Amino acid sequence: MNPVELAIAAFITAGIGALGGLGGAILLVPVLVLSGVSARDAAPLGLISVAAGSLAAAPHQLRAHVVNHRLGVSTEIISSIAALGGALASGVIGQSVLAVMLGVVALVAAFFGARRKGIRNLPDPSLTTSDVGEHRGSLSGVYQLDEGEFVAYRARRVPSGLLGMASAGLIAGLSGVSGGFIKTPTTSEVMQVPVKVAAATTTFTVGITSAVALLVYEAQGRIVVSDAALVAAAALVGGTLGVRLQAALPPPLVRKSLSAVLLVIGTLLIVKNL
Amino acid sequence: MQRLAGLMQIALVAAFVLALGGAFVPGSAGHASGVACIVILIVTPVVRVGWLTTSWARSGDRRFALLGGGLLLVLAVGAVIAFLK
Repeated sequence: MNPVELAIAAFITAGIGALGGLGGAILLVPVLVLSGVSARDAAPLGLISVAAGSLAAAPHQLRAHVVNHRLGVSTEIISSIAALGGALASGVIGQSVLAVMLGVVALVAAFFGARRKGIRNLPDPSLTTSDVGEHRGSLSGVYQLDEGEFVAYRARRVPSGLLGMASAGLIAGLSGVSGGFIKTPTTSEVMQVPVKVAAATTTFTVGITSAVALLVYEAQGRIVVSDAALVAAAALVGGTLGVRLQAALPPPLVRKSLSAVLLVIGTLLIVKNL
Repeated sequence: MQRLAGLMQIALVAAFVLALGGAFVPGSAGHASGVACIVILIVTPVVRVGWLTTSWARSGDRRFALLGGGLLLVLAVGAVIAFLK
C-alpha cells in the first residue's frame, strides 16, 4: 500500500470509527491486511488510528458535554483488567476461531441496533442548557438532542453492561483490536444509554486502551514512525470530521449507520476465517 | 471541563503538526517529530483520566475519584506487565 492509499484508508476508517464510536482499528486493520500489510505491522497502525480518532473527537465532545466520563472510567476498569487477562492468555484460542467469534458478536450487535426504532429517551421539556452534562456521584446525565431539546438518561442493567465490557476487554486482549465495536452497542442497547453518549464515551475509553497498547508496541520496536505519523495525521482529520458528522445526524440514523458498519465487519470476519 | 477541552485542543493541533512533520520531513528531524506525535497520542488519554480523577476528588465525588485512581493503577500495572512479558 502506497502512502496516499494508507492516508486515505486511515482518514476514512477514523471518520467512521468516530461517527459510530467503534475505534478505527476494527476497520483499518482488515483493510491493511487485505492490501498485503502483515498483521504484525497493521496492528500498531490500527491503534495509532484509534488513539488519533479519540484525541480528534475529544475537544468537540468535551465542549458538548456528550461524554459520560464516570461511566467510561467505571467500565474501563473492568475492560482493562479483562484485556490484560486476555493478552496474557492470548494464544490459547486460535486466531481463526477468535475472528469468527468477533464476527458473530458484531452481527448480533448489528441486529439489536437495527431492530430498535425511534428514540428511547424522549426529550424532557423541563430541562435546559444548564442541565446538560453528567451527574455527580452517579452514572446518569443529560444531553442535548436537538436545538432546545434535552434528554435525561441513566445507565441501566449495570452488571450486565459490565459483563459486556469485560467481554469486550477480553476479546480486545486476545485479538489486539479495539473493543469499541462491542462497547458502544453494549452501552447503548444493554445499559440503555443514548447512542450518541454511548459512542462518545466509547471513543474516550478506546483512547485509553490504545495508549497502553501503543506503549507496548513502542517498547517492542513495532511502530514504523513515518507510517504511524502519516496514519495519525489522516486519522486526526478523519476523526474530527466524523465526530462533527455524528453531532449533526439524528440518533436513529447514527444507530442504523453503526449497524450497517457492524454488519459489514461481522460478515467480513466470518467469511475470511471460515 | 472547558479547560480540559482547551488542553485537548492544544494536544490535537500539536499532534497534527508533529504528525505532518513525521510523515513529510526527511531525516532525523522528521523521525523526532513523528515520535513526539506518538508520545502525545499515548500521554493525552492518561492525562485526561488523571485530570478527571483530580477534579472528582476536589469536588468530593470520592467514589468516582477512587475509580479513576483505580483505572490509572490498572493501566500502570498493565504497562509494567506488558513490558516485562
